[in-house]
Amino acid sequence: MHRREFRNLICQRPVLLDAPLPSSCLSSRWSEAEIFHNLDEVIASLTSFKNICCDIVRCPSAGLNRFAMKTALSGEPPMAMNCELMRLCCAALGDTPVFGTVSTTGQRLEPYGTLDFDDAVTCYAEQGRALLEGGAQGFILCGSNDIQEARAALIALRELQDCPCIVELTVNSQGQVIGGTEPLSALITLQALGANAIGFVPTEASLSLAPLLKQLKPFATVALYGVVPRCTTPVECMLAGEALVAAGANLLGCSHQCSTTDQYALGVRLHNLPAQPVQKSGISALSSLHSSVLLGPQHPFAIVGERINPTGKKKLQAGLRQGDLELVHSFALEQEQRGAAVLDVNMGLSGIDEKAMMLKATGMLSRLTPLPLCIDTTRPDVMEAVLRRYPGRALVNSVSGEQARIEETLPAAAKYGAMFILLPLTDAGIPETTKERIAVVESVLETATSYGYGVEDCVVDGLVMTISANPEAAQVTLDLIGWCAETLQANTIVGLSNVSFGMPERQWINSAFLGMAMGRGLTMAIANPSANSIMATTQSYNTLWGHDLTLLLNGGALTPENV
Amino acid sequence: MPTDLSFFEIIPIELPHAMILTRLGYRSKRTVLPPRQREQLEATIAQGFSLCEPQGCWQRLPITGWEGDTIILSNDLAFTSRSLCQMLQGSVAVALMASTVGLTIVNAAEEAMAQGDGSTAVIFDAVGGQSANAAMAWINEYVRRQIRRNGEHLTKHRFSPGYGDFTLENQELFYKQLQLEHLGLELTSRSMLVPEKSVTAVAGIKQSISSR
Amino acid sequence: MKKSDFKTWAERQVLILDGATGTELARRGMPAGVSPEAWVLEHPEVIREIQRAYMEAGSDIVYSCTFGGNRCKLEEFGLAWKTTELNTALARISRQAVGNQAMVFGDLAPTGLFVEPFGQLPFDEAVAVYAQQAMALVAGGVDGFVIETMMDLQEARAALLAVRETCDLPVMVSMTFGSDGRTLNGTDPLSALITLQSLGADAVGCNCSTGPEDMAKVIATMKRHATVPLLAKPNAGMPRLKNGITTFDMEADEFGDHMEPLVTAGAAILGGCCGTTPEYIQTLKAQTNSLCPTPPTNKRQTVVSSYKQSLCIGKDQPLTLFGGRINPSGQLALAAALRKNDMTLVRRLAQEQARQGAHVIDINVHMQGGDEANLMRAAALVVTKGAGLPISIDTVNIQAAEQALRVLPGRGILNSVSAEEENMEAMCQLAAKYGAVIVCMPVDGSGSFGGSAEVIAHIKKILACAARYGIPAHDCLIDSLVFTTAAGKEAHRRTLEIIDWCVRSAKLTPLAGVSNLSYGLETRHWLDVSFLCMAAGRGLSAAFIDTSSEQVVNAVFAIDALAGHDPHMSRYIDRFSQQALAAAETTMPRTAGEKVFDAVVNGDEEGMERLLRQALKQGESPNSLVDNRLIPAINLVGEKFDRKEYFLPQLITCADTMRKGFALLQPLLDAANGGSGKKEAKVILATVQGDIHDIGKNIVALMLNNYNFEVIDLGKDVAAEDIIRAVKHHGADIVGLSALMTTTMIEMKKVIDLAQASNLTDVRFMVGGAVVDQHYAKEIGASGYAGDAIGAVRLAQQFSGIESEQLSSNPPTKDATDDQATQEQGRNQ
Repeated sequence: MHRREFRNLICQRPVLLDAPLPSSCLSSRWSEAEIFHNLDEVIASLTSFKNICCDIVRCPSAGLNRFAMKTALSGEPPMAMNCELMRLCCAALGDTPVFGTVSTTGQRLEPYGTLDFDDAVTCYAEQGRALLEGGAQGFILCGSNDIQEARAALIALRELQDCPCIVELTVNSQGQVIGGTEPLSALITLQALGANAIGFVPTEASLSLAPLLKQLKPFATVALYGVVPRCTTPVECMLAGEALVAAGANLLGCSHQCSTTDQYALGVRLHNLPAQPVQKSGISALSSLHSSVLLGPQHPFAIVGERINPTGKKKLQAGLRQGDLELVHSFALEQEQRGAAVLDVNMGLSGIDEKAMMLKATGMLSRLTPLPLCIDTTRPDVMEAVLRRYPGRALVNSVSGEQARIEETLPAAAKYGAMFILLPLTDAGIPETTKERIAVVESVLETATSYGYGVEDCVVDGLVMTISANPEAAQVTLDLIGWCAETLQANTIVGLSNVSFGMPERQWINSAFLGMAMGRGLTMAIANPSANSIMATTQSYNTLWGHDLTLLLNGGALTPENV
Repeated sequence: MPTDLSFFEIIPIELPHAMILTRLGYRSKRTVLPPRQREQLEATIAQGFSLCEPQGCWQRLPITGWEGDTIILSNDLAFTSRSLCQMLQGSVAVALMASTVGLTIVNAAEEAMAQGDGSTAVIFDAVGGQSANAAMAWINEYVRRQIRRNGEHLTKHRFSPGYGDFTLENQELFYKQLQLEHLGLELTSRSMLVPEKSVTAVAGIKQSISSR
Repeated sequence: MKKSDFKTWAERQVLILDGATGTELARRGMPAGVSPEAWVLEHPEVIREIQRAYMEAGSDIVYSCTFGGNRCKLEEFGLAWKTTELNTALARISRQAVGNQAMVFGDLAPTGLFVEPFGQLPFDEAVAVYAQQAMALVAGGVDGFVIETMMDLQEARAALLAVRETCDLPVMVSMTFGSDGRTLNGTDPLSALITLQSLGADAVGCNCSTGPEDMAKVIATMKRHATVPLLAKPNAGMPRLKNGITTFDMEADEFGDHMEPLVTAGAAILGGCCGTTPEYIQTLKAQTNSLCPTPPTNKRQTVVSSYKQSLCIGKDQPLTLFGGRINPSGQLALAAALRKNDMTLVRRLAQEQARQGAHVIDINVHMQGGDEANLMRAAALVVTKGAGLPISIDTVNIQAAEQALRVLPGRGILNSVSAEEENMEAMCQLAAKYGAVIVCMPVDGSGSFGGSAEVIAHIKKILACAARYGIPAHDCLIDSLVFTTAAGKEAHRRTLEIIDWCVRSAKLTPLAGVSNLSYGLETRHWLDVSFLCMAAGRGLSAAFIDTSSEQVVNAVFAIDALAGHDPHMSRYIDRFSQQALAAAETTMPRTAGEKVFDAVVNGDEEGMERLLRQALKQGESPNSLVDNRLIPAINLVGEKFDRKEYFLPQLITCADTMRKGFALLQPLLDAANGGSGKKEAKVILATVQGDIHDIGKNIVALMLNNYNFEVIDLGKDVAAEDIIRAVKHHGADIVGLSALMTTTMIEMKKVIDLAQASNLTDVRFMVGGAVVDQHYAKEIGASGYAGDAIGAVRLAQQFSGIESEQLSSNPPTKDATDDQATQEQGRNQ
């Protein structure tokens, strides 16, 4: 099945999937060894799903990966088992598509565990290959509690063949993905990485996922999938399914705790429900392992903390040369405290292994802070290495109209679905006029589109020059920002320290410029969040545009009742 | 020729900033004034200036005769002073002028001194004195322009009682002739004007005979 | 003559005026000291001859001989009763003289009185004086008017309004500027032009003043913003006094040579003033015959003015700041003062805002039960005098608006004209009459504001109404409706959209009441500043904002720098260079004791206590603090004062700081030294009998006190007997006497003589004051003379046996107190 076909399928009507077995049953009923001892029962159970109108059935291959089987089974080569199992399933189910399932390795990935990220990718890749050989129509990643593991699997499977990948995440009764990731953050990370559907399995069988799906729907550019809660009557089951569809689900999973009759009723009902739309244009959002940041005029202004950058910082330079990240650590916490929304990470320092240091720093930071990272490097190889491992959706700083950047950085960014900062300059330098800069923006965007990017995935850098050298500099940038906000409807960002270079009392220029740019629609800035004037301007923006009402509440201009 | 007494209710002087600083002993390029002190100084000067109410008057009096070192004006007014007579040589009339900045600034200076704020007191004192001088300069310029259309001009200098041999007692003549009580001024028994930030002066009016 | 005909005429060719009249009359026998108007009426043939001669020399326009023809001037000759008759007759004579070959313009000139706010003559009385003359001149058949040789912009306005309210004839206004380029009241050429052309003058210019060269500069300055033809009527060069005779230094030919540059500078109407004759006019005519005047500007620029400065508002200009603090709503003190008609606070608020950087002062005096019209008029005049900035009249009351606009000596801003039908028509009519710039308030009184589209519709409606009254769009500022922050993002977004529309679509000038935003909020300035920046990013031209916050003003400087309105960043750099210097000062680590020393030297009174306590805590003894910190510090201050590095206020502040420190240490010293912290010596100070000047003596008292002398200040105007009595009573060691006047310094001798007669031979006398010197001190038997306060301290120390280190090395020099006194003597009394 091609991804396009999968998309067509879910556009016709809500699709019913056979639901995952609760993780407890998985091992107790059919351990890897048992599957082959009870093949007939397994196949019969799959056929029953077909009978209750399931549109897609899963092949119970979840545990058959190299790491999980190492302890469980010996003898039979695992990949051959995958292939064989899949073949049998396909044969039994006829024209009902069978998806291969992959699941946890049972080991923790770095930076949390010892399993190397690329080893995990290799492991999933070989299983995936085997399943495809056996006739898999697509994949379902299930039973994973670790976003990083899901990412590894997704990267592996996406590299194999053009077939759909569905990611299943387990959520607890608090609505958190097990492992501490917010569902929205997981959605942002995984859909950017190329998942075709993202679904949730509740830890408590009675939990309805409708509120969660409803909350996520506006941010989803892929199909949403939810498992129906446990029901006791056919009507109840139908209603529960309808509620999920109404909340935005494109796929439903039938619950194993419901009776076949109930599930059948649901399956039939789904044939008569209209399909839920899947939003085509993406959203501007970044995520980290735990959390996410939404960008744009509808959301709070985002300050990208600029301090993790050794340029001009002697102490930091010395630390990095000795592989010491203590200052990076404290800069990160301090910037987070001061209200940064994203942290810029730059390890550009002569005489150190930038790639290693960058991986080390981003690895440390993704555990330390909930803030998404902005990967600031000029080296495409460093960029790619970091993006591959970063357990979230990062911001790439930057892609410009320079040939090398377009050819190397842009594909790397695209592969991992990162957002990128678009620097309107070319090999010929920085264009002087707004018009010329617009032309560069348009040309880079055109190339980006061919990689599947949309306008929402890029942030245009206003590229402000020093006003003491050119009094028109600020105006050119403001006009570019204005054009981006109004005509292109893209996010924009400026670095603030350039504009005031060479002037006394720079904070006034910096904050005034920030305000003026906000007036033209600026949505982000790279700045030092320790500067009071910058953060006060940011707070004013958030107060004025209704993102932060504390000032008004404290000032008595609003009461909690009329918020 | 008319001999009307003209009063100026409000004289639009500019803040005589440089003169005030000079009077306070400020020497440009020499005096070092840190920003904080400068700010405070400027604020005090501005505050003092807002307390000044520059007013004044002038009158033209024809010269009717000379007797030695005495000059006789209409209204039977006479001034005795050799240096004054020298200055007025060739004049057909005199302009008697008076200016004051009122009592408010003087009181404010005294009040500041009483509060132990000597710094503010001397600044107010300087602002008042220089503003009174500026008001006198304004009147002088006004008179100069007024009489120009009559083909007349003013002597380059003006003279004030208490200067040289033009004794302070002459202040009394100014006081009566210019009806200085209308400006709220009083005269002490020793011929001093109250409020003290007040100036009187006399200048000569000469005829300019055009060659054409 | 119709105004439009005059305009066409002046655009097509250089118009020639006449030359001097007064000197020509004198040459033909008019005696000095008479009323020229009365004399000419008795000798009509003389003026006929002069004016015919001018006409034949090329004059297109002659002025009626009515320069002194207003009733105030005529009254000086007892002729006020004849005003109407004289003017009508004189106009007729000129008409007869030139027939239809030249135009006769009625001449209006200064009354010699001062019009409010600079004098006592009420504005409308001045208007009435000129209206009477104008009416008489119209009856005599004049073709137009010239208001000339005006020294006071307000009087010129009164005359201009009088003519406009009398007839529809063209009127030219011509001011006289001094060598400093300003009128006596400080009006510069551009402010005069802006004020007069907006008030309806058909030509503006200057006469008399100076010779033709300087006048070209004045004309060039005006030309940039002139929408009317410019007039120049220079003297025949500069007056020179030779052997008591005034002559003008320019011959006719040379005068003629200067005419082309004047036309190039922008003049369209030329003539001659003092010292010129028909011969001059002839060369003038010959030199300009082939020239064509430059047409008036078509720049669409908003310019407002006060009597002494003008201000351009618009997209290529720095952000214009409106100071809106004169508004009684929410300000109880101001409301109370206004109820008592007390304008002191209004004046102070205006001055404060001007000092802080406001460019326009907005006046709102609306309150329940207040007489808004009278208050507005009074406030407008007070603010004019107090701040000298252009004014915005903030009212919806038609009477209040008219009262204020009528007397405002400048081009004001009428804030505001709403889209409410009745208000809109009346306000536009008023603004048109007085030439005011208007603020369009795009609301219709319904209480709802709608979205941008509704607001824009309102704006268009107001602009259309304004246009009907002849107010062009560039003279309309658009209020972009800023409400409180709590009004929500839709309101804020609408504001930015309106600004955007104004700047990018409609080419209008947007204004924003940014201070509304945080009204009632405590942490207000950042909100204001941020929103101001956002609006400025969209192209805002003018804003109401609280200038009392340095943050706000700093941000405005930054905005101008960023918007390209501060081309070399010079204004920004100037503002901060002082601060940058302060920051650049190296701060070496200092001990608390050293900081005590610094505090005295820097006059840091507030910090003294804290620093002393710190030093004591660190173990420095009270004695050491006095001997090693305070005393050396104040001695250094004295040195700096001698070297003029410090001036008087600094000396005093430093001494106060030292005194404060000393007072804090006193109890500790007493404890340490067994309560023997005694004073140095007793000094009696007095200003002698008859003298009322005491500032100098007060400073001496203050300084002596700071040096720990026990000072008994007897005050001023103190009789010799009282001084001697006090010396005996207190057992004083030293007496200081002050006198400022020659008339009073003799009193000093009296005191010293009386002391000797009373056997007080141990008492040392020191004297000082403007007219006193060393020689005089010796002559009257005083022990010493002090030139300044530091000198007095040194003398007192010497007398009481304290040898100061400075005493030998730095003899007291002539100083500030001394200079001050000299001036006092010269001019003050």
